[in-house]
Amino acid sequence: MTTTEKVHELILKARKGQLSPEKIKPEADLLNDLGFDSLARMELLVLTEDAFGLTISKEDAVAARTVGQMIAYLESHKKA
Amino acid sequence: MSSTVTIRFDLNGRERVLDTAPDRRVLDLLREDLGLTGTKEGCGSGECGACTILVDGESRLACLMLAAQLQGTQVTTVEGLELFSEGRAIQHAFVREGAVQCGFCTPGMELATLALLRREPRPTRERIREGLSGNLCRCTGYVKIVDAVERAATDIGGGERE
Repeated sequence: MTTTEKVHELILKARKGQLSPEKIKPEADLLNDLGFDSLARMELLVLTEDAFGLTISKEDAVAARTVGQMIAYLESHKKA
Repeated sequence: MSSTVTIRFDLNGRERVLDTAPDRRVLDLLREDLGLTGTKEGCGSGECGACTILVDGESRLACLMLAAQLQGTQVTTVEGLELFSEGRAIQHAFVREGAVQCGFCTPGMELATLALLRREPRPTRERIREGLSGNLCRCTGYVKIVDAVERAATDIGGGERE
């Protein structure tokens, strides 16, 4: 599974079935386009940490506002 | 028809100037006039803590405050929690420890936690229970919530968990 596929899966899981998969695009903003609130974003952070085996700072998590930014962060930080 | 007053206050880092009835509940002002529905109405009579907000850094119950009391204050609701690094740590800890079930009490719990940890950065479990005693949860039995506050205290302080 690619990083992109994994991120899409995690976003859908964090939104608990309240999001259509076709809305998940690189430019989609988690808050404004995908309906995340700050708590849901923290849920996504925890799911992402567990899925990728990473500890991600809350500041980095907040800075990644779009799906594309999230994927780029994970691509550059994921373990080999 | 009741008269209105103009109130000026800081809400989640942004200045607000509103014309409102002076006796309008802050809870209604936030939820209905400003659309900030993260602040919940539980009992509406100051018993449950679901509507906890921070006013000048102190936890207050929005159901018991009147709009005119906001004049010149700094208000933080759950929507503004992520403006603070401690707020982000608290939210992360609540999720990580599984302290959120139905989520209705969570906004109030998290704001009460922020006020507690600013007053007392490393509280014991007993002090956490005391600090959150005004916030009721009907789901969790509180153990996970206390775990989350402990984790948040550690994360904010940069220390090791015991």
